[in-house]
Amino acid sequence: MAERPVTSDLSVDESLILHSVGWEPLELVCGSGVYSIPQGTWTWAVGEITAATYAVRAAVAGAARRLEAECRGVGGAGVVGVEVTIGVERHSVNAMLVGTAITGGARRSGDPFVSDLSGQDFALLHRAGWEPCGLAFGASYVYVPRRGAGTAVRQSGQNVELQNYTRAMYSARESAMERMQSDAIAKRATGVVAVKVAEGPVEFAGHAIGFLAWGTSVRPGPGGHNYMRPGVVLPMDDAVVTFDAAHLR
Amino acid sequence: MPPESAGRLESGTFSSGLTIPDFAACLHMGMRPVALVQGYCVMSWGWFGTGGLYARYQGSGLSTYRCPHGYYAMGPDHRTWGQNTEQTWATQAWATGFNTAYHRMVEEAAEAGAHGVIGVVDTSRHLLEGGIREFHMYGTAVVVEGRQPPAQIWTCYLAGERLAKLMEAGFFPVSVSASMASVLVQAVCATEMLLHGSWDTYGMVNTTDEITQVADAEMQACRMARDRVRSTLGGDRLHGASIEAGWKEVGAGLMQRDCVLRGSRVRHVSDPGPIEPPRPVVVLRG
Repeated sequence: MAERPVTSDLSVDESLILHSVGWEPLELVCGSGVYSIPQGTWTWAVGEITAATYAVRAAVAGAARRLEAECRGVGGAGVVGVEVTIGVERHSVNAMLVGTAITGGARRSGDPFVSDLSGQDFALLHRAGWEPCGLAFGASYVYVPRRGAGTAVRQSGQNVELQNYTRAMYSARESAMERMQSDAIAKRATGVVAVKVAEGPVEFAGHAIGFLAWGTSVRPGPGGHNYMRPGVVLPMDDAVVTFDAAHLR
Repeated sequence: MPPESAGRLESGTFSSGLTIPDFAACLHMGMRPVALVQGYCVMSWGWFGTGGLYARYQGSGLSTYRCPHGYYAMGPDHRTWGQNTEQTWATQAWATGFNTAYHRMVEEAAEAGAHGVIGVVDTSRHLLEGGIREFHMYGTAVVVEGRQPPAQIWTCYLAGERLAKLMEAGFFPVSVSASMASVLVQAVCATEMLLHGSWDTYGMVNTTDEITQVADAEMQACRMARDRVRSTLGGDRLHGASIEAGWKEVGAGLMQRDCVLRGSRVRHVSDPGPIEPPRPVVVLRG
């Protein structure tokens, strides 16, 4: 049977470094998840926007499921360098994951892993005796809290902390991260590495803010942690620092 | 080629689209830039087949979707049936535009006596309210010093250090490779409802349901673009692939998902030899 041609979005560095630790790219794979956001979701209220939070989390989980299925279909052990794109519209959420399925190494049994680590980071993780368990994701959408008329009047003209804002945003950030960690625990991971946090107001609903957190969940491999003593590099190409007598004047 | 191209290519001076580091890396690899070469093609963009107004929605059916409401489906506007269709006219027109621009760029490179074209950039955009689409491709034509011209001019999206690394890794560029897939979504009632954030009162369409028809369209477009590129690779591999995708509303309940996959087709010519596994280092820098 003819060998299946390889397609990959890895850089040359990534391909070589994966090759050096016994992994090879197989196929460019993608996963998509689309969920609905019910009408009335963005109407101003108090607390978390649960429907939006649910839709975003479900869309990413759906996309990851499809990505894993594609990876399994080409005989891959996992997907690395996954690029996460999340588009939130007024009535729908679209999550797209694109990465390269790889095979080789000490091939694990079970479901393929999904990781947004680069080829270099994956190789280093692998050498250190750890293995990725999947993409851990958390989200939280909240309404920007309103102040009462009396509070607004009291706070006007003063540079004071807006405690209701602080509380709401603090709690939303924590919720997103807590969900990400719960997701990692569900994947039997012991931690999450390379966490990315994205946050900001929703484009079409200025009174709503979204917080997203994701990273690669990891656990030690069967051999446990492999301590890698870092080497010391002393570059010889430092810029020459010249003494300028003008500084003494 | 327009007469101006011939004049430019014979002027005796070289032109290049490379950055200074890429230019330096190119010289270091023994490649001499000879000219910035380009190809251009403007296409009329639309359905021009026979079969009336609805012919543009015909094509290769990919998946169908049934209304879940059965006897509850009321009214003539209820979308009892939905389909994802490949828009073969768009795919074919895109391939024609891309390939024509590509061949014109290669023709200019041949005119300049080049062996290959590096740092290729291709763009495609609508002109004049979308009825016309232009394809533009350009890159730096190079001559490999001390080598005979190859039987076929090779092309590559990479240039400079990245190209040098690719070649040191034992690969040689063959050609840029790209494909476009377009999927038309004719939404079934459930898809239409969910995309508008609504639901039914029968419990058959709930807001917590996945919009599978749309997710399927995204997957279908990506897979078709990838499989089409893969079918052209032979024993080679596609390196540095990138996906460009987007949605377009084309009518009530009609959406179009376009996906363009591009990358450099490369051939494995030698083994890079053993590569040391990565080692963590601490850099002592003042």
